[in-house]
Amino acid sequence: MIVEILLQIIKIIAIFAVVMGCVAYLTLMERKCLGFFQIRLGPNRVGPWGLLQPVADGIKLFFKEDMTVLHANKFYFILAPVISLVAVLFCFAVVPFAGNVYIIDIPVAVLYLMAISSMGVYGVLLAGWSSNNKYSAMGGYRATAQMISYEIPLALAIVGVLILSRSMSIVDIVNAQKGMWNIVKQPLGFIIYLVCTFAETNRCPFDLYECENELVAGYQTEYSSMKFALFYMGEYAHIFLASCLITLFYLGGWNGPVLPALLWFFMKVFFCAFCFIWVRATYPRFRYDQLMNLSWKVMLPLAFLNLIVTAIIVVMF
Amino acid sequence: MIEQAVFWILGAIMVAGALGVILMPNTINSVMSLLLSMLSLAGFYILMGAHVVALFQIIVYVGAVLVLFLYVIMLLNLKEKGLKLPMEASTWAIGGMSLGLVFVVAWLFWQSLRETVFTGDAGTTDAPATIHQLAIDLFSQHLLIFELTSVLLLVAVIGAIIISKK
Repeated sequence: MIVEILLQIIKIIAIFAVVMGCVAYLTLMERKCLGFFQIRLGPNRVGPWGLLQPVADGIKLFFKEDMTVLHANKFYFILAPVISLVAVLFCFAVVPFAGNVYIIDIPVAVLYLMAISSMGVYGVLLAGWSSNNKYSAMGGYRATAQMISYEIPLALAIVGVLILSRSMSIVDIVNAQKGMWNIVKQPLGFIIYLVCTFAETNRCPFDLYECENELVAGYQTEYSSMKFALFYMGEYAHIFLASCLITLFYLGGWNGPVLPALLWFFMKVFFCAFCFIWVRATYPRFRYDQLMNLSWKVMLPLAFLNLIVTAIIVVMF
Repeated sequence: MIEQAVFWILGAIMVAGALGVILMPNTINSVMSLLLSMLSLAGFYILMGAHVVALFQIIVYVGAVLVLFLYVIMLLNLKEKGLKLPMEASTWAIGGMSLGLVFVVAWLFWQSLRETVFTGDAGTTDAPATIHQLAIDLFSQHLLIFELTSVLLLVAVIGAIIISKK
């Protein structure tokens, strides 16, 4: 009993360390890739090829002055960044990295993911409200409307995958893709999922709740030091989680020839993460009404169409 | 043993949350108390072995309904002093009646559950645990109710669209 609990704790710490390590180096990867896309070098001063840059950033953020604005609601001001990081980290409990590398494989894993990731909205909304600042509040409102709108087509797109694999356990979903990846069977679902993920993770072209030319920095305007760093970590952890989920749901997870499973998984995940950065470097931002129209008038009907066609084909053949 | 401890802790949190909803002067605090209540209710469902129900509780109430509550309350920007109840005779009468009703319901539950629940197991295992069982149950035994509920939701959606078009 005690040995089992200890083993589980060691697993949790190991996966946590891997996730946080990946999150730290995603920031470096983003800056390096942006440098490449904009024909400049990117960070290259700290350590060889700038490899120690995330460490330096972390130390810098720790020693910044931690300010709380006078009119802020202190309790929610501190709670908000905690919620937005914790809601993402909780999701990694059911994310398998390979056939036997996971913390737990529950039969309702996909539902768990939807439940926990929907709590992330509170972080943004409370941060916007408690800062007591009009730009923060605007950012918070936009974030909530956007996240709720895009959660629906996102969930409907996943249901297509669930119908094909007849299970809600992520390990089963990946095993069902042994012969053919879901991206081949569900091309429309994949596109819907990808677009909605960009909106959920607050990435360009959908980064409307912190668009700097209208809202300063949106909900995180008043945050500094480690509280800001928590938001930042939460955002990159969310990108990492989204890359993992795209890989698991549509790109065959750890399935692949010759190379070991873990290597395949991380290659696919970092390819997805690269796509996130690629899109950021390439596309301009949407206008807010365009964003809402896209969700309710394009994504939602397409997601329903995808779901109905998938269900009919699975039942008929 | 552990289950009992979890039950009492969750119960305490839930009651505290429910009291917070009506006693907090700040409306945001009320909504957050309701959130705490909803989360501990999900915890109760998990204790009963109904994981799917617990997760849907979180997805629907915490992930959608309460977010909209919070959103609307933040947009309204209510001031604390404007929210005092008028201390009239009708307020006292309605308050007293509600309190009496709560006690009657609690007493009825206590009377009807006293014999069944406290003997032997709490009957945790026969709840439909997996999504497969739940779906079979929903689409055979409760099909009529399920379809009626979906019609109701459809009507509500159409109503919402018509109201917002005006």
